[in-house]
Amino acid sequence: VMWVLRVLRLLLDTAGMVAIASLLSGWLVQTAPGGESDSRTADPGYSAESLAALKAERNAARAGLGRSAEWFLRAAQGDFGRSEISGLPVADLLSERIPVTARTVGTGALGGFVLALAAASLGPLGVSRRLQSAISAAGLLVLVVPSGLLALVCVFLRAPVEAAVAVAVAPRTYFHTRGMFASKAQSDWMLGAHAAGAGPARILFRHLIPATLPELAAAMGLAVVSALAVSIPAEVLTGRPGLGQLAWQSALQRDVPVVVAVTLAMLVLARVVTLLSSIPPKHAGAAI
Amino acid sequence: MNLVRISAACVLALLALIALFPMVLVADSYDEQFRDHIDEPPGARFPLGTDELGRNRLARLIRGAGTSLLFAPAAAAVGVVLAMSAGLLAASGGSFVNRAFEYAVDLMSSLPWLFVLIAIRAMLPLDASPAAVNASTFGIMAALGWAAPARVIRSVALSAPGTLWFVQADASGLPTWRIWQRWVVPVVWPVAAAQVLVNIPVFVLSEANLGLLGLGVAEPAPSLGSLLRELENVHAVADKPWLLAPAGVLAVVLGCFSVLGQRREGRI
Repeated sequence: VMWVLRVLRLLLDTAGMVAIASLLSGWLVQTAPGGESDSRTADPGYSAESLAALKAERNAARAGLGRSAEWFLRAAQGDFGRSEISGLPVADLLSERIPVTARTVGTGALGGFVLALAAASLGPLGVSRRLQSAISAAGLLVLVVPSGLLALVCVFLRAPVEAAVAVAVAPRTYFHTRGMFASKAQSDWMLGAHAAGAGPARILFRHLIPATLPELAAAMGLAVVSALAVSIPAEVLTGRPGLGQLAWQSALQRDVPVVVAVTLAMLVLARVVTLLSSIPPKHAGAAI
Repeated sequence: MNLVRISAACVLALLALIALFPMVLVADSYDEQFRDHIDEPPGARFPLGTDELGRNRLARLIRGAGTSLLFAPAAAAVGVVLAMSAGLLAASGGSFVNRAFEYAVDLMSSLPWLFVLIAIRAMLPLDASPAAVNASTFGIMAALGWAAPARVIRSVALSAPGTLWFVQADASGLPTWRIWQRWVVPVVWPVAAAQVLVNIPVFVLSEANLGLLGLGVAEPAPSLGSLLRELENVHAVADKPWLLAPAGVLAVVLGCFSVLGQRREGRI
């Protein structure tokens, strides 16, 4: 019952946060100092009358968007308005690109998580400290490289974009998981398993991983949220038509309704992932 | 202070000195064009060559490093001041304030930073000056980066009322605000300083990613991120390895700040 209540509370929290973020988005659209900006005004192909019509159309759309509550109600029904540049419904633009980003983020985050878990397992498995230090040094090195550069390296090596996402996500998850495993090393049940003569592999797979399942699920959630952020430079620099590329193109063109809708979609995705990763009951490891 | 930390601090100090006094290494301005020296390889006159507009790459690299070294620490400091205000307010407030704080921190933590940065950058005018774009880019980072430090600061501040010295000060009749000002804030202060050092590399890295996407510091002013845009033509890097210089400086800056941040956090 406690677990169901916790999930319900998380769901309510998520709904509340999305509502607050939507209202803030509506307010931002209304008050943005760049509201008058339109990249089409720089196009010499437009006549003065066309530019005036574009401006009037933009101002009318913006006035509608600016009414936060109204915008929120429409957004709740899946109507995010129309793109100011292409004129297409924002919902259609999102639905075209969500599967692409889901594949990039899902595969990348899973790959990064597996990589990090494998690297963090080397300690409990008793692999040489020198190798562990080398892996930690490589992880630190990757942490100081912008994810966009990792994407460019993937382009150079003709590797899939998911590889860039996995490599960008892995170090943070690795250090988190390694710390988690290290914190359990001195617990009574670990010392008991060692004293009973259990081998490192048995301790890892039968005791350590089951005991840390809730934390590992949270780490997987963090990996997905990190992968969402990495997806922007990765998609832009590799030319993959996902939400990240859409956000970037819209930002360059000051297509505010699309930018706001993509950001909200990302917020919802991040919250849903956080929610799912916190679902495993806290007593998952109690059966040891 | 161990050798690694001293070395990191010395490297950063050296880079900051070079950024403050670029004329020691290079006499050219970062935006000066040499139309007879377009896209030149490194030589005696231009140690890192010139870019496609004939600008001295070394001058631009020094200026770019200076931008990141000046604005990122400033933004981190502003962010931690906000975090300290929010964290102390939540720690000294009632359950409603605490709940609101938790909610706000959860909301900020759930936001995918880069998307939000891009969204807010998209709302700036197209004709904003480079200085305004720099200030707003790092200002947005400061405004978004308060959540994680605030949570740490609040948890440290919340542990104070249970300590013996707090109980004794309370029993002595000192007003609560005086106890917080005289004892709790000094306890929180080192944690806040550590959070500044932790946030600086995060902000430098965020700006680098924005710069790579053309949404960071505005031209003609360079930043470490905007200088990385030349790497977009990855196949040219094999012929022009000097294009990697900004990436190298970025890695050194981030590495040094990470070492300082980790050591400081570890001590606390």
